[in-house]
Amino acid sequence: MKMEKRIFTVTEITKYLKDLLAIDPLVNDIWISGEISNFHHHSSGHMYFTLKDESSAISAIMFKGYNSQLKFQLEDGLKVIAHGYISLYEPRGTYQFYIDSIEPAGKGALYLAFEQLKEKLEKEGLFDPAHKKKIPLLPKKIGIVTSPTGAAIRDILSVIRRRFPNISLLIVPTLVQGEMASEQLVKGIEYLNRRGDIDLILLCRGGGSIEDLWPFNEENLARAIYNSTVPIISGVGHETDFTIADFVADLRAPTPSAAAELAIASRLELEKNIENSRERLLYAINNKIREYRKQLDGLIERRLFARPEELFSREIQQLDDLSRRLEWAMEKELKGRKEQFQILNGKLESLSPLKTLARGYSISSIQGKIIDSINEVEIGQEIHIRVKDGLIKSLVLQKMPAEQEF
Amino acid sequence: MPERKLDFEEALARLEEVVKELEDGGLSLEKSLELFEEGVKLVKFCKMELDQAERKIEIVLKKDEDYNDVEIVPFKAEEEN
Repeated sequence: MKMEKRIFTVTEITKYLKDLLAIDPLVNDIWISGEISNFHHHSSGHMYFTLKDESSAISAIMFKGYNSQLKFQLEDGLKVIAHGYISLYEPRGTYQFYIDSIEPAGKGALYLAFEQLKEKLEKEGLFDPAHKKKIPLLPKKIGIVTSPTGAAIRDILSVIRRRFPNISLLIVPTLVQGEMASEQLVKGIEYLNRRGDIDLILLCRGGGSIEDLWPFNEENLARAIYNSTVPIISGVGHETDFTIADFVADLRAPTPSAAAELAIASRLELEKNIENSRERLLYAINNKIREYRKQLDGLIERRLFARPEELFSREIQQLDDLSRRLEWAMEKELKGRKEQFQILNGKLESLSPLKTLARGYSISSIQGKIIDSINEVEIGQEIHIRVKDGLIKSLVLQKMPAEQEF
Repeated sequence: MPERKLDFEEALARLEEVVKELEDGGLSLEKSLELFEEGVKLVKFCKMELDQAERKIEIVLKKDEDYNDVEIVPFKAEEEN
């Protein structure tokens, strides 16, 4: 018997083959590993590419409904593991892999997404140290964007209470995990920027899995941090957790408590710093005055007998004036040092040679040199004696050592 | 007081400058005293700034997602009592 020759139309055989594929259990629920090539993200939202290995290739399609959930970017060269089914596309008579989920081979999808976003933002300059804003030394009002109930806020409050109790905090409560979180964090940062009274923002969250911390790896949050005019310290998760937010932030703290520590330089340190400056100021001015006194001593030695009133009246007036100002400054601002100053002031007073003369003392000199020993004069020499109202020219009649005076 | 409104940080930095300049010496007594007076004022200003900050812990209650309408109330953490 001769078999009747059956002739199929193209459509018929295509349909037949499609049905064959449709009833095969393997190809309808299948994982395929391969490398992406010819990737094209169509304006319709669907993704078209080829999955290939060393010797074969298969066309693949991932519809918009599936690919919109992807955290990471598909790109040529990326090795993936994809799930879906294989079917035949009748208009072209080709079979295709219809993908419903896809993961990077080797590493997790979130990890890859993190790497990809980090690279992208880094290229754009979002982590540029030059863009980072300075953290104020003594912030007056700190905005805290975090969950109002987590461990993070508790830790922050306890640090701030311990180290600097009188500081204003404004908490902006947000979700810190889940799909909605990054948008809320963004809005919180923007709100604090609009207020105009916030010096510093802490962006914090306690520890968690990479999925939990994910909002801090979202691009919109990274941009909000970058665009914030108020400096931001990030403190997300534990020390080993690095998020995109950490890279963009003006300062990265390893934990929320550390963020609080960094936010407020210790009050005690600041006080010590100021006290130290105060003491150095006093020491320096005291030195200056001592130095000046020495100069004055020199002047007395050299020039007292030329024109003493004229010479000293200016200096003494200046000294008096400066002393008054010094006293005023000290009395007003630094009461504790007043006593010390008065001793110093007393010394300044005693410097004035005219005052000494006024008390009845006199100064004798020979040829412009002050006489302080009988050995400096000879009998018959003319010496000058300076008293408060003038000069006495005298002759040396006799020299007596102290023990023979009377 | 410094004539224009310095912030705490600027005042602290200027104070350090003043102290250094005074310590380096080589200035007239007049100039030294001027610096000294400025330094004393800066010390006073910094101390005042340190003490002035007030302690207030508040939380924002937003009435809409974009914070157009908010209420600020004192924050009471459960742990705080």
